[in-house]
Amino acid sequence: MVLAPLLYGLVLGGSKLIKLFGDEEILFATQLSLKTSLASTVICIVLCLLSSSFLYFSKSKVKETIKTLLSTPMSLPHVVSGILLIFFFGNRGIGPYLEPFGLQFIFTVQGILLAQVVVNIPFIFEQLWAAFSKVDPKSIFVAKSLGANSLQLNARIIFPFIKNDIYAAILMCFSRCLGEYGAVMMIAGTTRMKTELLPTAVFLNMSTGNLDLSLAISFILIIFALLINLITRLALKRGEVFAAGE
Amino acid sequence: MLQVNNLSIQVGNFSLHEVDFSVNKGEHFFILGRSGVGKTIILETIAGRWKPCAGSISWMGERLDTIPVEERHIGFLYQDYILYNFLDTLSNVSLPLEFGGMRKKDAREKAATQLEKFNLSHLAHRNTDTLSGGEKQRVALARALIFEPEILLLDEPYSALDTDTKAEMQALTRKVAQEYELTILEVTHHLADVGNHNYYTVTNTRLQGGN
Repeated sequence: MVLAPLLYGLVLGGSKLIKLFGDEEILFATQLSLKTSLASTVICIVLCLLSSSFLYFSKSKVKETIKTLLSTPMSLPHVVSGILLIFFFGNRGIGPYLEPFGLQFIFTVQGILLAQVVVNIPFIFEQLWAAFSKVDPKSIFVAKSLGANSLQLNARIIFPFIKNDIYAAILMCFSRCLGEYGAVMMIAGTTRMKTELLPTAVFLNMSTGNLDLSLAISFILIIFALLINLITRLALKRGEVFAAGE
Repeated sequence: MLQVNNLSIQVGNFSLHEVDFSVNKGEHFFILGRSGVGKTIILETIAGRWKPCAGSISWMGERLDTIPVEERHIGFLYQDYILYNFLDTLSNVSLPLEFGGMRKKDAREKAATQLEKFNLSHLAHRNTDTLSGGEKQRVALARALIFEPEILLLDEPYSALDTDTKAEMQALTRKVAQEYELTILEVTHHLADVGNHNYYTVTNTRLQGGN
């Protein structure tokens, strides 16, 4: 049920690939997709690492509440997240106050970044929180008893324990940003040669009757997804081999 | 002298009260009690893992419980060793020196000397997961002593070892205790381990609201 449509898409899309060559619009959409996904991944990972690390060491009584609030958007449909972003960052929200600082999110590339980051933070936070929770508290205590300060603790002890989880989170985040559609469509739209990404290009071409181009773009997205999945599995396997001391 | 004065400790639902004993400098002192009574928590509190609710801990007349863990300069050994398997044996032992700001090259040279002292040189580049129980215990001890602490806390260090290895480790501990002029606090639930040494029996504990 999962594999058949995927394989069919690969075969059909592959046969339409020739339509992509020389197409400036698709080249633009591909470049913008890759650039925004990369930038959003960096922002997501940094924010989630900082927040999960802070919460892990925090003794605050509202820790569980904060974790719940950070994870709640995971259950929201992405179009709903998009609508909320429009109203909050648009003219009816804080938009006018951000404009003097050069921040404009509606129908802009900045809006794409915002949508990708906001939609993915809950997932990546949960993933990194799970990684931190796996670290044995005794390992941390022993490191401190050996003289480790906070920076040394994070860099020399915690990071090596969770680095495979961080690599997996980076790849997952990039993959999700690349495929993000609902929230991006709502806040940034899909203007040709301005805010058009690969997923939104699929929709745009489908809705204008250009099915061959849609299929060809879908083929690219499937290949990206396969590559990222393969890299993730290889990286995790390498991590297991390293941990076994071979 | 290490003085533990009327200590109260709360960890989750578990509490300890009126923990009170003193240990002379250079003494090998034991903390006795049945399993689950809080012996490890006392050691961990002295090392700084838990903050006492009441009472005080002092070493040579100076308060210890107000100092952060990383500044107490106390060696700690758990019964399950807590070695870092993403580092080889040599790197595990050099870690405290690197934390203290020593250059990596110098720290590794000093760690190599320490391994030689503990007859562990042949294991320098082995992953610690591949070591035997006795070897892990010696590596953990070598690491705990490399920054020359004055106090060494041992949490049932021999419980996972066979009789012969245990006897070897006990002899090694006595040897290093003399060489480093260590004050040792050792947790055990075997009265036979205590011998002629002074000891404190943990009694005044409470578990609130069940397990």
